[in-house]
Amino acid sequence: MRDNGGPAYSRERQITLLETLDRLLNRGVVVAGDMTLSVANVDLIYLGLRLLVSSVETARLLGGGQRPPSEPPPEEGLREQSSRSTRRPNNHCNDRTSLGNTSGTEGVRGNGE
Amino acid sequence: MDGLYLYGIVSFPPPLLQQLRGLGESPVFLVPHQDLAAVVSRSPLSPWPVDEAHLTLHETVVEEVMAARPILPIRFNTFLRIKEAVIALLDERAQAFRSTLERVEGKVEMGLRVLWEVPGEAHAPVDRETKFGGPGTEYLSRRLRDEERQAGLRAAGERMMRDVHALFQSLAVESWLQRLPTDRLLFTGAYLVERYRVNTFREGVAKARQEFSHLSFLLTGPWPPYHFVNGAHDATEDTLGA
Repeated sequence: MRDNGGPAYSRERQITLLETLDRLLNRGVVVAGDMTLSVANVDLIYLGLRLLVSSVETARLLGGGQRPPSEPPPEEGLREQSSRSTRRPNNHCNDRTSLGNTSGTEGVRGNGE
Repeated sequence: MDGLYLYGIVSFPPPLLQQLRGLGESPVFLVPHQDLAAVVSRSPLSPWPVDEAHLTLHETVVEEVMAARPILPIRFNTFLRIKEAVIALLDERAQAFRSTLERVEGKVEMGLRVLWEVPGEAHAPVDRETKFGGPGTEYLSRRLRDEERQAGLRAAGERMMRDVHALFQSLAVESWLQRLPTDRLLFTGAYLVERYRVNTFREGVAKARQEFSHLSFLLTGPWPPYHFVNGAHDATEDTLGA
């Protein structure tokens, strides 16, 4: 959950970010507040899962799927992963930088409660 | 215009021991009401960007508080305009907050994703009927094949999932399960585990890696109990039929 100071796009960091994203946007106490943010959750998480699956698959290809997330994959793994990602249609979530752009899909609604 | 950004709900007292900084570098403080308190910081009333830096800030505040006492994490980008609204929230849902805080006390969430080899993908049946029918027939028979494949997949997945999930369920106090979120992902599980049993849970996953060598396991955590704080809303998605 915390940044351990690893390489900027390490697999562990990417997985941690996706797991955090999933929890912070889709789970946790829901408060009908003065202002509630609605994000395109489904799309984001769908993309997140695809990414996660491709990174687990990459780990399996390289190491029989036994590698714990704390061990960063060799460089080939990252290349494999990103080439998969770029083949996906509507991809805007394949790295940290473009993940930030998803805030463009946010909508704010006041629900007056 | 400023308001309050919410991170979580805790029991009150004790006060926060740490000098925490939240989103926008604002100091984190408690808004107490009776035996409960909300963990908040001042914030402009506009959503924070959904990116690594901001998600991490929110998560860090929750985790820092969690190190000292139970907390119910609140969803990212939740704001209330004024203190009185926070107090009203604590008042309205006091009973639910209290009982959930008791439920999660001394426990953490472990996250698990299990990937499987999708059966039958390599040998899809060759379609012999379509040449006798028009495009409509072809469409229908393709639909039928897809549905049959999906049903077969779910049945095979369910059997395997039951075996694997049972291993972890016995190591946790509560569990949450989403089956086949995608074809390749057998299930996503969240497990509420007593702190002192976290290592036992990890060992359980290591054992499962050996026992189910055709599956891939991705274990994360410990996390704050995100999947176990909304009562009925936490219900396992698409529960196991057994």
